[in-house]
Amino acid sequence: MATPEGQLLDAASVQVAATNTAPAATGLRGRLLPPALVVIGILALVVAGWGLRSASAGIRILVAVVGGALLWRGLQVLGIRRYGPTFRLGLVAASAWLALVMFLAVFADLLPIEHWTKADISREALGLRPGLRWPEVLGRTTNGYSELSHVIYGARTSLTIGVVAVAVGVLVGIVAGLFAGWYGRVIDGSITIATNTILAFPPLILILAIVAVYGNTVRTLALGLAVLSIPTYTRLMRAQTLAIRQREYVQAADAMGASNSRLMWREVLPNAVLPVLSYSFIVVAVVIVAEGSLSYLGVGVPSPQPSWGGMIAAGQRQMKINPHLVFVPATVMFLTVLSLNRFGEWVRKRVLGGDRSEIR
Amino acid sequence: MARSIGLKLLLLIPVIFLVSVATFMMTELLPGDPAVAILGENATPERIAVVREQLGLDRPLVERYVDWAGDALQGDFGRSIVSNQPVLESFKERLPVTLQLAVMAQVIALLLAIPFGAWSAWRAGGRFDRGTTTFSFAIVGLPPFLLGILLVYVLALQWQVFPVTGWEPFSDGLGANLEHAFLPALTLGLAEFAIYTQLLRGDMAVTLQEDFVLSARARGLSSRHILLREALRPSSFSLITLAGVNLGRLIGGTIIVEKLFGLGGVGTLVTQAIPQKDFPVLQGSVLILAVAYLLINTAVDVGYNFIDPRVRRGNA
Repeated sequence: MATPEGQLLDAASVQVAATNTAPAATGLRGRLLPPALVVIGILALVVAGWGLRSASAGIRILVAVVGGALLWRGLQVLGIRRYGPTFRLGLVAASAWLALVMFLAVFADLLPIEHWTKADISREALGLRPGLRWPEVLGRTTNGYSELSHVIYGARTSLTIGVVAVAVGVLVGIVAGLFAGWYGRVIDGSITIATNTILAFPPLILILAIVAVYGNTVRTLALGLAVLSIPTYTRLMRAQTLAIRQREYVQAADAMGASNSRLMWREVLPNAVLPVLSYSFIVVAVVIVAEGSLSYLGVGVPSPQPSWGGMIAAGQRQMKINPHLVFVPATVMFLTVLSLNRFGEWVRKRVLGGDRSEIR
Repeated sequence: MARSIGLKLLLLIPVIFLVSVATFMMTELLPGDPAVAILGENATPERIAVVREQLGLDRPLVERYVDWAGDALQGDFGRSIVSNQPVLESFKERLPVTLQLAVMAQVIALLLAIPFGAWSAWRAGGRFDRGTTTFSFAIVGLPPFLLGILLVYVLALQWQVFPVTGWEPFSDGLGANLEHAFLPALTLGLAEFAIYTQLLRGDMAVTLQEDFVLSARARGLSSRHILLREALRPSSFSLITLAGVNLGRLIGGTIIVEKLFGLGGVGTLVTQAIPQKDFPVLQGSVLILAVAYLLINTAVDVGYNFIDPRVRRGNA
C-alpha cells in the first residue's frame, strides 16, 4: 500500500467515494433522512426570506445558506437513489436554469410581465423591495421600472450578444483554423500572426477600443466580442486539423484520388469540428461576463435598453439603501454564468471522452 | 538557448508592428470624417479644422503612420483633445495606482494560493480539498465586478472595515494607502487565487507521487517540510508562468476595479476617453498597454528557460 501506485489508487478511490457518498437506504433513518433534509432546508429558506424580519442581515443570510445546503444535500441523495450513482444535482439544476432563462428571454414579449419601457411612478412603487406580490416579486427600481421585466429583457440582450458573438467566432475561427492547419506554410504563418496580434491586446482593452471606434450598439458588441473569441477557435481548429490530416482515413481518401476540397471539407472538417464546438457553452459564459463588464463600465449596451451589467452599475450607486437593485441582477447573472460553465464542462467531457483528451 | 531567445525577440517585432498599425487605424476606421466623428455633428468648422490639423488628416495615410509611430517610439503620443495635456504625462500620472493594484493583487493571490493549493493536494479528496475546490469554482464563475460589489457590500458597507471608495497616494503614508488599496487588490487577487490554487493543487498532486517525496516521508519529515521545502519548487513552474502572464493581464484588468472603487488609474483614463472620443489618449494608452503586455509575456517565456532545466535542455 505504501507504493506510489498504491497511493494513487487510494487517492482515486477517495475521490470517487467523496463525490458519491449516498448513505445506504437501509433502515428507517436512512430512508427518512433525505426527505427530512429537503423539508428542513425549504423551511429554513422560507424563514430566512419572510420570517426573521427583525433579525440582522447576517443571521438571515446564514440561515438561508444553511437551509440551501441542506436542501441541496437532500435532493442530491434522493436523486442518486432514484437515478443511480451518475446523478449530478448540479448539472440538472444548471440545465434547468439555462432552459428557464432561455425560455424567458425568447418569449419575453408574450409573458404577462410589463414591457421594459413601462414604469409605475406612483410614490409607493418607487424602489419597492422584492416580495410576494405580482408583478413586483423582484421589486422596482427607483425610477419605477419592474426589476423582473428588466432582468428578463436583460437576459434577452445578454443571450443574443453571447450567441451571436460565439456563432460568428466559431464560423471565422473554424475556417481560419482549417486553412492554417491544412495548407501550412505561408497561410498558416499569416493566420498565426493575425491571431497573435489579436491576442497581443489585453482582451478588455481591445473590446474597449472597438467600442470606441464603432460606438456601443448591440451589433458592435456582438461582433467585437466575436473578434475576441476568434483566436481561441482558430487555435483549437488548427490543432485538430493537424491531428486529423495524419489519420488513415484521410490518407486513404487522398490515395483514392479525392480532390483537395473534398479532403478538407468532407473528411477533415466533420471530424475536427465537434471537439472545437464543444467549448461553445463555456465561451458563451465568457462573452456574457465580458458584455456585463462593458455595460457595467457604461460602454456596453446603450442605456435605456436593459442589461444585467447596466442594472448593476445603476444599482451600485444606491446599494446601501436599495441593495436588491444590485443583488437581483447580480444573482441572475451569476447563476447563468455558473450554469453555462457547469453545463459546458459536461458537454465538453461528453464530446472529448473524459479529462485526458488530445485537444487542450 | 541564446538562439531560441533571439528568435522569440525577433518574432516580437512583426507583432508589435501589427499592434501599432491596428492602434493607429482606430481613427481611420471611424465612420465618416474622423474629425466630425470625434467632435460631433454640431462642431464649428474652426474646431474641426483644428482637430484635422492635430490628427494630420490632410496628409497621406502611410506618412501619418510613420510620423505617429516615430513620435511614439520617442515617447510622444500627442496631446489629449479634451485637456491638451500630453498623453504620456497623464498616463504616467495614473500608472502608480494601476501598478500597485496589480502587484498587490498578485501578492495576495500567491500568498493564499500556496498554502491552500499545497494542503489540498496533500489531502486530495478530503474535506478541505473539496471545500477549496468548490470555493475556487464559485469565484472563477463570479464576474470580477460582482465579486467586487459583494466585497464592498459586506466589508465596506455592512461591517465598515474598509473605506468604500477613494485612493490615498503612497506619499500620504503607508497605512492610509494600504487601507484604500486593500479591498480593490483583494477583489482582483481572489479571482487569481482561485486559478492559482487549482493549478498548484494539480501539479502538486503529481509531484507528491514521486519517489523523493516518499523517501522524505519515510525519513519522518513533517508534512509542512515536505510540502514547502521538497515539493513546492518542482510543482511551481506552471504557477510561475501563469502568474507572470497574468501580471500583464492584470494591468489591463484593473479597469473594472478602478471603476468600482472610483480610483484614478490607467483604466479610468481609457474608459473616460471613450465617451469623449479622445483618440490620442485612447491610442496612446492602448498602444502602451498592449506593448507592455506583449513584453511581459515574452519575458515570462524567456525567463522560463532559466527556471526549468527541462525546457533549457531542448525540445520545448
